[in-house]
Amino acid sequence: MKPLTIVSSRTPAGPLLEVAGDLDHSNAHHLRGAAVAAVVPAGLTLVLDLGELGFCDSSGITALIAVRNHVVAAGAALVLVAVPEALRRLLHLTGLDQVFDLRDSHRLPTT
Amino acid sequence: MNPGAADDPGAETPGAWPAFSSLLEDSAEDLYESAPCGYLSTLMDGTIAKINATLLGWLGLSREEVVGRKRFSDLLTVGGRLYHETHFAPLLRMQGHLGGVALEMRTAAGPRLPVLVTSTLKRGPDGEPLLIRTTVFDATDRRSYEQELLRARRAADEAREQAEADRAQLREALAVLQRSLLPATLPDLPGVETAGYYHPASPTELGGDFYDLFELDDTRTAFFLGDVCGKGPQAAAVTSLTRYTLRAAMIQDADPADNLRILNRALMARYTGDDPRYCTAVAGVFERVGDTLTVRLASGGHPPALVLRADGTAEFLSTRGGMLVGVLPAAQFVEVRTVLRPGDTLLLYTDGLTEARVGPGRELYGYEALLEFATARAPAGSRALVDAFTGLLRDFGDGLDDDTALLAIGVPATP
Repeated sequence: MKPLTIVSSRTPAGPLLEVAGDLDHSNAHHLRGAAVAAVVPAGLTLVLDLGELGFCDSSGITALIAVRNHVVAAGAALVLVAVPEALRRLLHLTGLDQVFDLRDSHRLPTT
Repeated sequence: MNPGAADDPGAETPGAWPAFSSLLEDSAEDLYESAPCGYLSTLMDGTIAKINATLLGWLGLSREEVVGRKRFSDLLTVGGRLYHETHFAPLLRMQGHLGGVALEMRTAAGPRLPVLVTSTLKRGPDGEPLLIRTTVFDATDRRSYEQELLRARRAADEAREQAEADRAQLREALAVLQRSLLPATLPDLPGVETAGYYHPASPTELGGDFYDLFELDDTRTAFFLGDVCGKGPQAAAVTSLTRYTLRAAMIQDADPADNLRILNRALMARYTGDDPRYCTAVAGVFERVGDTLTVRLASGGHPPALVLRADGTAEFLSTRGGMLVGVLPAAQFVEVRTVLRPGDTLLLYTDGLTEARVGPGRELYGYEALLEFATARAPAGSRALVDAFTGLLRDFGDGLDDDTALLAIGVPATP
């Protein structure tokens, strides 16, 4: 089990969280906390870079949904970039690929 | 000891030593009579020949009552006497010494006196036993200490029994709750074979998988199977809400995709924002038409159902695009239809099955292996199929760490 690390930074488009390690029930609340702490102003975009994400179970999915709910409620947007194949399959299976904006890289159209 | 030695503390205070010394000048007689323990000497037949004042005082007896008149065993309680005759005396005669034996003595005032008895045989020059010397220690404090220990142990035993009873009660409550999330039995339907199975991940934790199957009317039957995210009582509460919402919706108007939309609304109304609760589910209706079943089912983010055909093939019924239930207000649910002919069986399962870890690399069991396993068993009746999968789940051993539910619906092969 790889420990979860979340590195927060800012881009012109909005905050960026680089999530690495394994996301499960023991640490999923850290991701929610980091998203809340990132404070996404309305109209901007929170980017989650999942390129280094390892294992992600249903608690991890729940955390992603909670982050999305939080961001959408603030009038902002959420983008997932570099989603690992296993998570991508899980998102397809659960129809969540229609809910999350999945992108390959950080380069976002500036708003 | 030298009273005049320079290191003697008494030497520095002249006059102290003589007083101290006189205190020590006990006569042997006084030491015997007033010792802090009881002494008695008995002849070999037990008759008491000599007894000190301490023991007489404890027993409340006079010397005249005892010496030459009573035997040692007369001073004991009935139980003590029995023990003395059967164990103490024979052992003493054999070994010549016996120490630390707990007995009870009778006192004139009534209360029993717990004592520790040590006896030594005095022998003559030729080795013949002459008399028995016995010391008696008052064991009242020790006895009450022992009783205190016993009481504490009893209290601990009672607490442990209570805890075990509480645990059993809790286990029973969990089992009752768990059973309330599943049908007790599946209905007997003419021309249809059904079978269900539920594997709980842990006997002490409520699971999040559920299924149900119930008749709507003479020809139509509703069914569903799903998996609530998470485990434990909170997941079980969602499972309960899910099961009864779906059941009520399907009894009212069995339209699988619509029924999932109703469930979606119910979950979203109940769980919002930071604590989203969702499930994956398959809901469906089948209708008997001649010797076939026409099946409509809708999926919300659930793994695709499997169909085993009478010709020995197996396939997934794709419901790709159906969304987790309880996440989005405008969730999409995908409906699919199929016809089950004699020898065909539909299998619904939860992802505990496909996400089991297998082999030395602990790889995911996965959908390919599942399809392969099913194909190898096709055609198979519902009961036989669920039994085969139950065996597979058992073979997963500790690689299976999630709840797993199975529900099979089939048309028996025409003989």
